[in-house]
Amino acid sequence: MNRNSLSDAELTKASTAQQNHLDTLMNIPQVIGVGIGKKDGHATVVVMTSQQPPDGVIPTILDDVEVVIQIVGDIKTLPTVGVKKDG
Amino acid sequence: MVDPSKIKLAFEYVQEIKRAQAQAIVQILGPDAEFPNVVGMAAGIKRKTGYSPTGEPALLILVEEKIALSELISKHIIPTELFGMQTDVIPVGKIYAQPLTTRVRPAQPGYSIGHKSVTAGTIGAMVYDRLDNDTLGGHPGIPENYYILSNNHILAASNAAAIGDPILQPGPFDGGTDPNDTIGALAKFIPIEFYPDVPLASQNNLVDAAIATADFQNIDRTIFWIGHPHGYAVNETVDSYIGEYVKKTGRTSSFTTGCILAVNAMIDVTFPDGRIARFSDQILTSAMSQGGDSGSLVLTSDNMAVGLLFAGSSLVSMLNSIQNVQNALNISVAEKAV
Repeated sequence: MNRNSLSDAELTKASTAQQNHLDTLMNIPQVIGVGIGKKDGHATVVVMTSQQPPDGVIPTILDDVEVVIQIVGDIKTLPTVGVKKDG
Repeated sequence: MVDPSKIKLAFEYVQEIKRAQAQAIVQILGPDAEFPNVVGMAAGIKRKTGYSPTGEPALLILVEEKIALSELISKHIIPTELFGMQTDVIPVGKIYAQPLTTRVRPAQPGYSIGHKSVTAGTIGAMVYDRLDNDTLGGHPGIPENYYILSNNHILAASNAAAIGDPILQPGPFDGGTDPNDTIGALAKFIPIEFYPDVPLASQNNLVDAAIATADFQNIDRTIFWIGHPHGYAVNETVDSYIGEYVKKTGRTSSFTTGCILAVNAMIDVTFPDGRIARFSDQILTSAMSQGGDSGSLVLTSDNMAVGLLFAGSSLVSMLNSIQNVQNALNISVAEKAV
């Protein structure tokens, strides 16, 4: 299966940047997650926020890796919710 | 007796209605439409009071419920004629995709499941014991047991359940009761570390997963609308799936597709009782789930299992890596690693 794999060098660079800055990023109030993404064939650090963060709160580049902000809302588990119609 | 000539519409009439419908679509269903109660439009036959058909063509305006003209402000009243075609307002109720909430035997992944004390979630997959020396899938040999796979928060009530507790299909919210709808018993769950018992920075959660034993003849591994998993993705290659389209079948939102946005994600997730747990090694997708879809197996277009759906928002969905799920529970969802 031919999938668009990122090069090992790209991945290592992004993973290292993610690990180096994980604690700092997770301690920013709007940030609820940090992952690895892909943009134009390059690995990126994806910073997930509950809402649009104020300008400048999240760096745009970390250790030479582009940071992409992904607004994800509030992440909750997904059991059935609501009131049962027929009792 | 209804006059047959009054319930059939001539072809040219249908074309006329479609012309009016095309012109009316922005006014009636567009983003700035003034008719909050309208859920759709259709070509049909004008009916008089008492629903007797007239045989005349009409543009049907489908509404959630019919409201008396006297209770509507004028701009919310559907015009009696739109672009030269008379209208008829038909109440149809709220339209939902039909969820997979019924009792089925053998049960299939995609349908409702739940521990007796939870509401309901989704059966992700039917799985089996992995052989001890078989860390990369391969030949299953003779499995000792067969299981239903879903989330801890669906089958084990977020750590609150006891091994052996009855598991209901459908889940209690969908009418499942013990013992009539008991399909199996909780066999194993991976405990979740929660804040504040464990500080977020010290948590090592990888999966929200549990299995229930069930009789082989009562469980079918064919995922409704998808088929069975042909293999599973391993963590080493999961980065190659970024940007890939994936699919799932779930109890509430049925068959949906999404796109993988990020991998190796660390993320904080809110559980039903409000407690927060931090998960590592997660997979983020575009929104492909709703409440009740927890536990769904997410697969690539070629049916390779990628993740176990367990959380999300209106914007995204969140999956555990399927390899982490298999390793934690010592099970296999498919015979082949990819």
